[in-house]
This record gives sequence, C-alpha cells and structure tokens, in this order.
Amino acid sequence: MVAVPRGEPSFGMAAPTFHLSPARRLAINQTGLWLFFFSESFLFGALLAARFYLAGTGRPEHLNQLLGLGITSILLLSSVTAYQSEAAIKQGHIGRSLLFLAATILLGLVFVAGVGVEWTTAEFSISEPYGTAFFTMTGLHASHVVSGIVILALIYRLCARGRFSKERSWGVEAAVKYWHFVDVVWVFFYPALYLVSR
Amino acid sequence: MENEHERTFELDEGRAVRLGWRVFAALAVLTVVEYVVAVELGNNLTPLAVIALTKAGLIARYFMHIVALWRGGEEAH
Repeated sequence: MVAVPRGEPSFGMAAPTFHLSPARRLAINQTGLWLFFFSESFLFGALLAARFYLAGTGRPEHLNQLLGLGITSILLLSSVTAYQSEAAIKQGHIGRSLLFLAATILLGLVFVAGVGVEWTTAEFSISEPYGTAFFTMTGLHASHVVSGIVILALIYRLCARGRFSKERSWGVEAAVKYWHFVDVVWVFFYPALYLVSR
Repeated sequence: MENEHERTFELDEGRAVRLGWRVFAALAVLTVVEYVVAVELGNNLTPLAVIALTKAGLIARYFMHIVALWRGGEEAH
C-alpha cells in the first residue's frame, strides 16, 4: 500500500496530509514499537555487560533468593494476565480485558513493592561493584515497570470509556507488548543478579 | 504452525487462553530449573544463559507475536 499525499504542496502554509489504510497504519505502528524495543535492548544489554565487567560472575552470599524468585514469578504471571487481556479485547470482550488489565497492574505493583523491600533490606551497599550493578539494573528496570503500570492504567481508563473494540485494539496491544518487553528484560536480569556464580 | 498460533489468537479466545497458561507453565518450570541449576552447579553462566534465552524466546514468540513482523502487518491482524 502506497501513501498518497492529499492536495498540492503548500509552500510552508500547512503540512500535506497522508491517507494510509488502517492495515498499513497498524503495520507502521507495530514496526515502530519493535524498533523502540530494539533500541531499548541496547541500554539493558549495556547494563548487563557492565554487571559482569564490574563484579565478574560473583554475587554476595546473603542475597534474598526467596524474594528474587517470588518477584520473578509475579512478573511472569503478570505477562499471562496481560496476554489474556489482549486476547479478550481481540474478541470484543471488554469486561474480561479490563479485569485482566487490572490484574496485570496489581501484579506490577506487587513486583515494584518487592523491589522496594529488596532495596531496603539489601546487605550490600551501592559503593561495592556488585551493589552498583544491582541498584542500577533493578532501579532502571523498576522505572520501566512503573512506566508500564502508568501506561496500562491509562489504557484501562480508555478501555473502560469504550475507546477500544475488537476492530480497534492497537492501544491495548501496544501497552501489553511493552509489558512483555519489560518481562523479557527481567528474564535476563534475574539470573545475572541473583543466580550466576563462579 | 506459526500462522496457526496467530489465527488461534484472533479467532478463538478459549484456545488463546489455554495457550497462554501452557506457556506460563513452561516459563515456571524453566524458572525452577534455573534456580536448581544455580543452587547445584558452580560456574553456571552457560546453562543459565541458555535457559534465559529459551524463556525470552517463548515470551517473544507466543506473547509478543514476533512472527507477525515477518508476515507483514496486513496479514498480522
């Protein structure tokens, strides 16, 4: 599908508008979102590399492994509820989509609370090499989780007002995909911070 | 097979829901295996990296529908 400019060149009076088919617009949106994920992966990849550069493959003895496993399980579960929300909106089931969006937001809040507990009870400081990596990586990741929660809350509000439907579900899909991306990042951060050892 | 998953997601919410829980079960099992590997094995970087890549692949494939990128937007949704 080719973009067709409407009207004659305006010589600076106004920008020309383009008419795109809904399918073409959706394809562009999806590609743009994936390019965003690609660019973000460099940021998280650099942090992952910095963790091993600063602290090698060692980790402190007194890490709260139970808490790490718990918040990891919660984030994985939140990905399922996000997925169910997307599946529901694509069938036009607004109520179920809202229910699973709310569950995802709740699980995200529990994850952030878990990270908060980890931060306040950690037996290492930010001045140690491992501590520098730990607080930077979990801090940046948690900030993405918080932004994901805000986005999901906005989508929830719009969904409750009837802005999304079976035919028009891109907003929900994009928010859910972002949430999954944040989950994928944690899939790499969790073993790098809690599990890897010499 | 890849296209079948996308069609399932579009057409049948019940099947999509079941698929979502099956993927979660696989992720949960891999997380437990990851934890056991970390407890039992020293020098565990390679097995942990393989498990993490597998988990990320499952999420990208089934939850993020990454194959839709190669199929093109017109077909994807």
